[in-house]
Amino acid sequence: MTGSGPQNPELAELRRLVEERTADLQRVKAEYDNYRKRVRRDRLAVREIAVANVLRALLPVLDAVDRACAHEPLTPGLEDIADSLKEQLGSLGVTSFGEVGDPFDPACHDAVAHHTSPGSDRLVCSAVLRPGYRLGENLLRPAHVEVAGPAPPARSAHGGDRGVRPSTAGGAPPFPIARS
Amino acid sequence: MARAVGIDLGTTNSVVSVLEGGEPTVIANAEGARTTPSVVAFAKNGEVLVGEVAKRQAVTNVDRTARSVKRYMGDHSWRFPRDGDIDGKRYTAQEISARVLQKLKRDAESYLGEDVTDAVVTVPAYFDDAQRQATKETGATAGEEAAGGSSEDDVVDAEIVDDDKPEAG
Repeated sequence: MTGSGPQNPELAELRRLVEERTADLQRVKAEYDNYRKRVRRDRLAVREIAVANVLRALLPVLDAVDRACAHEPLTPGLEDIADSLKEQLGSLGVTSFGEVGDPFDPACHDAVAHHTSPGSDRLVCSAVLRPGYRLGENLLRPAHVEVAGPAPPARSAHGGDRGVRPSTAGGAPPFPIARS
Repeated sequence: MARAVGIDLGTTNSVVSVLEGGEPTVIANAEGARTTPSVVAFAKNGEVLVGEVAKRQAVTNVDRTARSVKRYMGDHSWRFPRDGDIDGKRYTAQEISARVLQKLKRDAESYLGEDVTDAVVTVPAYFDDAQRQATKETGATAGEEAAGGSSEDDVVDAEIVDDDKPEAG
């Protein structure tokens, strides 16, 4: 068995190489499979994203029409533009939202101002500065709103830097302990 | 199969990307945007809001919304909030930033359809050891909390690389 001496390290080296290459191949194959799945999924999404992008770029036009309708005398021409715009966008699945009195939801409302109103127990939209738009279920643009509600939850005084502890009688309800 | 992602953990916005066939691709978040605001808010009901949603409610919840936390990375005395506490807890910069990393991780996982266990996180070139260490801890915290445990295998293994571009606020 004198020949097996130099042969063994070579064999081990080859085995190591095969294992390495096989692992590489498996990794690349898994990556490629996932990539292919993703491309198929994304191809369907791309159409929707393209439509959403075009519509989002056109939202300032809608805002301008809304402003014109609100502040200028409604001429038949302006009315026609506004109506056909609404109709066409509606047929594409665009809906507007944001009404005074809606409960504030950061998922679709962008709060630009906060007023405290004593006696209320939750945040509601007190003014809609710019309506929000949805395309089907997806948010195209959040509504810009002013929010009114209870004072922001004050931090419990700790170390007394701020000094004032909110009174429990008239203040915000106790908060549940946050998950850490 | 474990995938590694690259995360730019920024002062104002953060981005997550992945190598696809050797090319880096930015992953859009659940809201469809390519950047996620580095903002974390603790809602009244105990819910933790991260990103765009946290930013939108910031004016209604100023004292419980954390932003630009990266400035305090590695500062051992800094806590959020600066005075007082949030439902009995005061958070380190690492803990706040970990929430941002977790969201990026979740969004990357839903895009890739597989688990993300490794991340390369950028830091500015001028970060000192303490700041780099803190950024690394952020990665570990994000991994632990996302996995709901602290098994060593689940911890996101964060590599830290220099972010050579000047910080854009």
